Amino acid sequence: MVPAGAPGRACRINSLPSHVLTRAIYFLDAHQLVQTCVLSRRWRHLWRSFDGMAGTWVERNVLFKKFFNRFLMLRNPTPLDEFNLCEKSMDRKWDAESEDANLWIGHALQCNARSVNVSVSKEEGAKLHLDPVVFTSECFPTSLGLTWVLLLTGFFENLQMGCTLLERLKLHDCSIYDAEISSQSLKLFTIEAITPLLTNMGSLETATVSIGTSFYDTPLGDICQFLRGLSDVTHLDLRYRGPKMEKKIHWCPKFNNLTILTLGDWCLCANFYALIVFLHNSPNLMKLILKIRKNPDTHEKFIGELEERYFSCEHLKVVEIFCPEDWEDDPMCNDLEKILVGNGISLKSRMVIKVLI
Amino acid sequence: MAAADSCDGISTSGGGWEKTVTLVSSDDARFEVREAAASLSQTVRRMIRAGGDGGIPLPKVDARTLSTVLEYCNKHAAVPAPAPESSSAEAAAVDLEWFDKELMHVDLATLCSLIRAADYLEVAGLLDLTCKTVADMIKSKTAEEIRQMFGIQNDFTPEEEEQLSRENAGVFE
Repeated sequence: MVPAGAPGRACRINSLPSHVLTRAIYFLDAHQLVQTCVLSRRWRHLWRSFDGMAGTWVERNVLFKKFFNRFLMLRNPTPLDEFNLCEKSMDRKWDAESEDANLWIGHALQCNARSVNVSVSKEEGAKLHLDPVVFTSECFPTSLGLTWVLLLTGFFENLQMGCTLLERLKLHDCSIYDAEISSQSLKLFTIEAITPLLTNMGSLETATVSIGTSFYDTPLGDICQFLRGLSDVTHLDLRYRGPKMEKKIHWCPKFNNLTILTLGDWCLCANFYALIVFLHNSPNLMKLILKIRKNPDTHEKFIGELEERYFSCEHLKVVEIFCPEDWEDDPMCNDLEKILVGNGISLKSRMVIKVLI
Repeated sequence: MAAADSCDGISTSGGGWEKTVTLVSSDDARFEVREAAASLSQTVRRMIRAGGDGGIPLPKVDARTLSTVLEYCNKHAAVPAPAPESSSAEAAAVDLEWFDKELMHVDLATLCSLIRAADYLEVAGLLDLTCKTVADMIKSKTAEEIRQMFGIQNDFTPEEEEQLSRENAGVFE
């Protein structure tokens, strides 16, 4: 046992095996990590073989940029698990900053990063311009997340050619200047944007999409086409913000594989118009989740009369509703239950109401 | 120190019957521990599977260190996994975090012994906790301060050191 009163002598940190020390420096961020390289030869070697960098959120400033470029150069090309780039904000020199970011993302991909996340804070205007060329060579991420990023023409084509293992793609507030998305590998897809065209998305299982905007109208034809691209999914979470739709049922494709559907309060507009359309087109639905923040606006997104108000969802057994505290007493809640029962839905239990905070 | 001289078996604990095992430290102290807690150590878990009587010998861990390791295991194994959204789960997590923090109030020699023990016994949670403590000690210190704290000999030649500072110029200044 270590005699008391002699701490640090008999059992110095430095005498611990290398694999343990590497585990310790795993918890340092990149800046502190390089600080350890000047300690001694052994420590210099330790951080060079460091394969962590997971969870290292890269802050940026001129000083840090220099440092990080050096860090990437000095680091042995060991595989990376995860690469997270978090830009506080893009200043006016967004083109130069984008160039650096593209360099880093390219490096992470060359190091076989499995998960790549690029996120720019939205407070200041400019978006990060992601260079499609970064994704040209063969790389192996399974997960890619982009927030406040501008995607130029050719991005999705390169992504499909270069990242053949990509299963999860999450795009938040991205500007998309690319017309078509096509993927043989994608299983989970999240997008909030003006809708590009989706083709050959056969592997897709889960989609979280927010389509349309309240500012200006997306041609209805584009929305229909976009939805058709999602028609094979099993899980769908859909938010719709406009434009107005005619009360016909034909804009919505058949979702024959759909088992779990999540819709917002917009689907209750105009006498449950969109809800009925989706239920009508989802014959194998098992669970319906409604996220209700407020009663839908009085100005209707849907015009005209819906002729067919029937649906048949014989597997639908669970309806979960997330709503404000008092919504349960709202007549609309009662009407909703009536519609379900009226169409022969026999729920396992009553609708599950959860209060939305 | 709870050195119990008892063989492996069944004993009551909180009104229920729980299986226990006996662990023997390098200095021959015997610890009777719930199997669920002892099994947080992958090394012990393998030895339990292998069987044998007279307690499980752990020749690389002394009694003082082992008792701290077991304190950790007992605490962490005691926590059942409640529904992740319930408030009791949150309270348990806060309590556990507090416990971990308190456990790490030790001198450097003890911390080193704990790291070695956690590594040898393969208690992943404790190894992470102790390694994170080392990382926290490194944070916001200069290279010289870190060397002094950990007893690291600067073995670079003057030429190498000059080169290092050249390489890092503009990085840290």
